Amino acid sequence: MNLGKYIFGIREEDFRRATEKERNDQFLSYNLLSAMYFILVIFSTVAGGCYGLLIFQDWALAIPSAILFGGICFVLLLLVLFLNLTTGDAWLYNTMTDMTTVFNRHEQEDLSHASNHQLHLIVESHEQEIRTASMASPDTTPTVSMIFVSIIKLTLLLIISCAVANGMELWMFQDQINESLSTIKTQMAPIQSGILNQWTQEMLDPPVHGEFTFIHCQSPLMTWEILAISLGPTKVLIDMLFYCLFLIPFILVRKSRQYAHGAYLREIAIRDISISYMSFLLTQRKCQQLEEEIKQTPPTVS
Amino acid sequence: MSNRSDILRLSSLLFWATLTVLILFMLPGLKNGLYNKEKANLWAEAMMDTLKQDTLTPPPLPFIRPSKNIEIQWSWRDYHENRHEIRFTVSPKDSARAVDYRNDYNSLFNIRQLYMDFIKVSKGPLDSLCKAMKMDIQSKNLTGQEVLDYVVSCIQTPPYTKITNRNECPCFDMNNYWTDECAPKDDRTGCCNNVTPFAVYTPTEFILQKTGDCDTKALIAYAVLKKLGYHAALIVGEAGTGKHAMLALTGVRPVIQSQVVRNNGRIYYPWEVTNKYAEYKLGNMSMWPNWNNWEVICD
Repeated sequence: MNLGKYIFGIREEDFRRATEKERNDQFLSYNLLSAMYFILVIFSTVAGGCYGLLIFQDWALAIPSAILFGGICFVLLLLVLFLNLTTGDAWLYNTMTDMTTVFNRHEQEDLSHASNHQLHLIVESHEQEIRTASMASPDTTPTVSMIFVSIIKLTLLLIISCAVANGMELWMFQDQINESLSTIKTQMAPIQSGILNQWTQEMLDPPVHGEFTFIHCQSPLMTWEILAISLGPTKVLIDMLFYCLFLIPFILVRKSRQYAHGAYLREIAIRDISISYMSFLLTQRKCQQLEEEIKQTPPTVS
Repeated sequence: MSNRSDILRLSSLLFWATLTVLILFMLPGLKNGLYNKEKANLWAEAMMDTLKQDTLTPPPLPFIRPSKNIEIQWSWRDYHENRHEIRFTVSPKDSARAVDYRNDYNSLFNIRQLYMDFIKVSKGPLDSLCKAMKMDIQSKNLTGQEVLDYVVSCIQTPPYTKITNRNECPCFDMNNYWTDECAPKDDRTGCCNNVTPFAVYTPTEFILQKTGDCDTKALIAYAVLKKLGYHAALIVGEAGTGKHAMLALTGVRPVIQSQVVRNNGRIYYPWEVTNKYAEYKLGNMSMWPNWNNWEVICD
């Protein structure tokens, strides 16, 4: 199944020039990445639902919360993944971002009589040239801006994973938390006065017109405090596991050669370069044709 | 190339392994082992100690979170000592809504807007009160001034309570001692602290606990009379003891002629609603030493 098609838009025709092995490797890599991504989105949606239930104590509002939080994570994770999907071949990267050298080759060349087929051949031969050159191209060197952007992406991922981890922990330990809350409520009963007592009792009482549907407490902060105290260092461990889960795809895309130096990104980059190149040549030809036409037509005064 | 390919394998292995560990954590047996109930109980005990040491008295707002419909019964006597009694209900949702709305109210750019918002949020209880009043009025065949006396004497009957948005009570103010009891007291010394944002209760809160000062009482009287079809207004101005709010009516004949407020070509007669005294009748303001800068806020 081509999972990568739905997220990264991978199509069979992108690998026309790639070898069979390269093609299979690429499909595997992107399918793997898509599967990871789907799992993270599912976790985010479940966590969103937990937050919705914790805050609203109502399924009717928890479901939209789950969809909203899942949707936000879907978009942000996709953004981070796509931002990381940049070709690692310095030569290809530089050609794509600045095509002046390629265009300069045709500055003095007369293209006014060149046919579409001839232009296409020029582009195709250039395509092949890039493909060969990119095989021996050095890696792109990190710049200050790239490091800065990476820090922002990492922070964003850590925030998302922290939110998801806490939501999932509530879901995982809801029965245990409810037991603790019930103990607190029973112990509180003899205390009758005090603002703090009144507040705590209000937090442990079900909402007006309803029952608790998830955690038996109306205060998310109180719930987290109980969770953190009861789990102790285990909470940190579970948090770390969630951080790992979110960071692995990010690191994978950055570090694995299957992505930055893979056939998919290379072919996509070459296709983009070719489109720009072909457009340049067509424009250049039209300019020269118009120039000739102007020269041949004497100026008239009406 | 092969080294880099290993990263793919290693990372994916790590991802699925992490996922498996997390799924294992979700198994009931392991969950119970990880969750230390003892620690939660110790925390609860420590919290109980803190709660026991907390001697601050909470504000007496018994209506904050009722779980079922609240049955309200009001009985009072009008200026002619005729006894009236009405019964109606307020839903817990409406009561909680009004209290929460006032507590969370944060737009204080316009006092008129605040009064109108408070009336709007109290629609349910006000409708219920007006329905009960209308039925009683119809059964007793009351008309004109009798209806006005009926409504205003009802609002005047619960003794005045000082309302403050700070933590002032108990205190000595306006030549009177105010206790820290937030309830209508016969000796008129009830005082409510921390009624934010503007020391005014919503009509719902007045209906539920009958505590109110000048603007709380004037507001509910204004809202009820408006719903009953009278040209009522809420007026604010200087009465010699600071800012004061009163009910006002236009298109009626005053019972006791004194000062008036003119607005948009209409003449409004003031009506003091804070307490039920013989001289607190339509048109009379002579209980106050001054009458400056009075204006119609809601009409």
